[in-house]
Order: sequence, then structure tokens, then C-alpha cells
Amino acid sequence: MTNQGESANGVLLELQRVTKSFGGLTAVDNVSFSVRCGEIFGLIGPNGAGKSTIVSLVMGVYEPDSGEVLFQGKSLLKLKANQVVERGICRTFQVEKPLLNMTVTGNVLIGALLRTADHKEALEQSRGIIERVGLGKVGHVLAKNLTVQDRKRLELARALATRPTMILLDEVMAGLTPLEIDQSLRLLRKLREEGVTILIIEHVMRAIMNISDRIVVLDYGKKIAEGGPKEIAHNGAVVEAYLGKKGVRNG
Amino acid sequence: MSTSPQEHTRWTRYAPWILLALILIFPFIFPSRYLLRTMVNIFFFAALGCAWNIIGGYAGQLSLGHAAFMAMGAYPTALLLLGLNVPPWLGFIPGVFAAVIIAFLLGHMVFGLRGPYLALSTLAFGEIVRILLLHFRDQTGGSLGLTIPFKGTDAWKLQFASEQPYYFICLALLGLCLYVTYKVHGSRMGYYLQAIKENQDAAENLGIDLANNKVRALMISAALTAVLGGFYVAYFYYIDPDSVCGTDLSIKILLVAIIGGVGTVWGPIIGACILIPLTEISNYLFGSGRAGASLIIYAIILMIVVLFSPRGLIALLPGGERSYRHE
Repeated sequence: MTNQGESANGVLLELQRVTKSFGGLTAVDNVSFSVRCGEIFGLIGPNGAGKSTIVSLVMGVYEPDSGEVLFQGKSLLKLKANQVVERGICRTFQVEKPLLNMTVTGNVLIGALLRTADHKEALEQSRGIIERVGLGKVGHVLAKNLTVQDRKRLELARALATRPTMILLDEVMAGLTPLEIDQSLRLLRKLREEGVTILIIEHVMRAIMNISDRIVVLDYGKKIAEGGPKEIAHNGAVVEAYLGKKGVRNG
Repeated sequence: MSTSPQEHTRWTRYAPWILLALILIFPFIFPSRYLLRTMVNIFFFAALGCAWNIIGGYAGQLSLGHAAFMAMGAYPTALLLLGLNVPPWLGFIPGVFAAVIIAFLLGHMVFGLRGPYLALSTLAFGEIVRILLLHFRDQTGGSLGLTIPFKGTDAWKLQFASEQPYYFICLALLGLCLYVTYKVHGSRMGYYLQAIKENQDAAENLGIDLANNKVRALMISAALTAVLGGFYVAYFYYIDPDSVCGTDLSIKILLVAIIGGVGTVWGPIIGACILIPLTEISNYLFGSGRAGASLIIYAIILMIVVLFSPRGLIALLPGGERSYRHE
């Protein structure tokens, strides 16, 4: 279903020494990491750490001041957002951007039309995706009338419709109940089984610790830790970043 | 709105054909010149509204200078007719080419802008073209305009003493615009334009090339508008920068689409059916206060539509909501 064009060691997306400043503020400071094919890669850090900026840099919304972003071995730097999507990376938005006056099916259809100009084929694919994410009952509902959880599902469904090799999920768990979070995690695991590589930005620790194969932690634009969930959870610098030095002193 | 499915299907299936039949025999039942002129006006503005709708309604890019494209069709047609005796049905072709090329250039220049800034730039574009037409008065006749002399019925030059031929020609042009709109509506580009209108960022993140789609929509829209500019020359026999390139005209065009229903195939027809007769009525009632009175009427209608049916009057018709949504 998806085509993986990984470089030799299985790396799909690679950031090399990426730096981005806005005026006097360095949002991303010399960050490097790689995401391997088929993994679920977590990106965490306190608010303002630069996580969403990294997503924007990958998607071509911003150009980095220095550094390189490689996908399947090729640079993404000069591409516009729609070209990045064509290459096979799709993002969801933290603040959902549904096409309000179109139905759920219409929304997903737009995504599917990227890969096939045939209306019927695109519609079939859309219906399949809508079922898989759990929106089967609301296909005909206008996007502006959806619940929060359904809006998030719609964001994901639309992204999936573009048949991405890799998805960047920007805080999809925010505002969900524990039950809903579990449902989402199950869905993400299924996606991984189907060969989609996932980069997930999250604040909901339970979710990201549960599902990530590897995690990178940012703080004030710098990478402060990288490793598996267990290592990260016990990493002093990480705890300090979230809770402050006082938190560490008090255990 | 509360028709049963069977009633609804019967109505939507047969009504258009009945209507079409009536329209086709109308000129033979009511040969009144005045009525036929009004009908031609309705067809003409419905067609212009359709053309505008492709960029203004579907793509949601408010073009306030669309009359300029009509002028780009009208002036070459008139000049070729006057200077080289080229019949209007050939003379409009260079005009269409010019309009398409300029739409391409304009689109790439202004579609990076959003909202009010885009609208203002298109307004400026319209005015620039109008002023250029005034400026090059040796070539265009300036504010005196160009008059096409009527030398008796001459089908080759599309000159007819009666209204009927113009009626059918304009109806055919309206048919062309409807057909193009219908094709766009059902195509991938139609979906993409709607997505762009709803949320440009979301659209871009679904792989949609914003610039390309918007420019192509503008080019199609400009081409159709230029064709109608050619018809204008053949029908009205007089053009000048104000009548074919004025902001008043641009606004009338977009009103037809907005009042009827943006982003729908039939909306502009409804808009023209409301706007043109009301203009005639206001001209009749307010005699010498003409121009001002019709503008007041437009404003009132627009306010009513925006308040009660912002998506256009077509939404009020049974089954009207379906004109918008896809799948």
C-alpha cells in the first residue's frame, strides 16, 4: 500500500543540524535525528520547545536557516507543502482544519484525489478509510457539525487518504478521554502494521510512552535526550525540563 | 425542503426540460422586442455570472475587476470588425487569447494575496485596464468609444434587425458557460477549488497546488468572459471603457453569482433572473435617477440575501442544498 524508499540503514526521514530562528528567538537549535522505516517515533518536550516548528520545517512551511531535511534520501528543503505531501509525508494539525462546509466523505475524498483522478476509485478508498478510523456512521455529516473526537479522526482520515509513507501527528490525543486514547493507540498500531511510519508529537505522556519505539526530547529548541521510552522516563534532564529543578530535588 | 423523495426526483428530472422547452419557444409566443431584449440581458448576465463563478464562487477568490476580461474580448472584436471587416464570431478569438494570457500573468501575481488584499488588487487591475483603454484613445477611441454601424441584416457579421437570432445566440453562449461550469463542478479541479475556498492551509496539506489551480480557474473564467465580450459588440453595437470595463459592471457580474448561489452551476441563472427584471423595474419607476436607483436595489437585494440565505437564493429552492455538496 505504501512505498518505502528508505536509505541504506532503513532511515526514512532525517534532520541534520536543523536550525530555525524567528527574529531573536531560536525555535529550533541544531537538532538532528532520524526516523526509521516502520517505526513510531515520539517527539516530546515542554510547550514552546520547537516541536511544531519542526513539523512545519519538514512540511516546507518554513525554510531552516541551516541544516538539511532528507526524506528517502532526498532533500525536502525547496519544496512547497503540497509537494511534500506528494512525496509521501502528510501531517495533521494540532488545531484541526476541517473543510467545514463539506461532509466527512467530501473531506476525505479530497485527500484521496491526490493519488487518483478517478472519482469512483477515490470515493471507494475514502469510504474504506472512513470505516477504519471509526467515522463510518457520520460520513454524510458536515464537518462543521462533528464532535471533537470525530474532528480529530477526520484529520487523520484525510491524511491517510493521501496514502502517505509517513504521517506527522501533531497532538492528536489532546482533549480525548482515556478510552478514546486507547482507541487511537490501537488505530496507530494498525497503521504501523500496514507499513506507515509515524512521527507523533504528544503531551499526553501515557499515550506516547505506550506507543513509541523511540523518543526525542526537545527543550528550548535543543535536543536534550533520545532513546527508548524507559530510558527517557528516567532521564534526569527530561524530568527537569518538564518539572523544573525543584521537581527533581523533591524526587 | 420537505418534498418526499419521489416528488423531489420527479421535479428535478422534468422541470429543467420543461423550462428549456418554454425558453426555446418563448420568442415565438412573445415577440415583443422589449421582452426579448430583457431575456437576452438575463442570459447575458447569467452567462457572465457563470464565468465569474468559476474563480469567484468555486475558488472563492473575489475578483472585483472581471469586466476587464470582457473588455479584452470586446475591443479586439470591435476593432477587427471596424478595421478589417472581420466578423465577430472570428474576431473574438484574439481577444480570448489575450484574456487567457493576461489571466495567467495576473493570477501568478496576485494569488499569493488573501482576502481583502486579493480583492483590492483585482479591483486595481480592472481600473488599470480601463484607464489604459482611455489612454490609448487613438487606438481604442478613448471615452468616445467605438460604434459599430448597423447596415441592415447581415448574418455573416451577426447583424440582425430582429431580436430572435440574438436571443438564441446568447442562449447558446449561456449553455456553453453552464456546460463549462458543470464540467468544472464534477472534476477533480472543482473539488480542489472548493477545498481551497474552505481552507487554503488544509488544502495545501492535502497535496493541492494552490497557485496552479487558482490560475487555471482564472484562465477559464477569463476566456468565457472574453467570449461574452465579443457577443456584447455584436449585440449592443457600442463599446467604451466605462460600459465594458467599468467597476459597476464588475460588481453587477459578481452580484449575479453571489445572489444566486456561489459555487453552484445554476446559481448565476437565478441571480440574473432576479437582478435583471428588478433593474428594469427600477429604471421604469425611477426614470431619471436611473444609475443610482439600480445600485440601491442591488444593495438591498444583497443585504437580504446575506442576511437570510448567505449561500445564495438557490439554497431556498427544494433540493437547492444539493447543488453545493459533492459525492
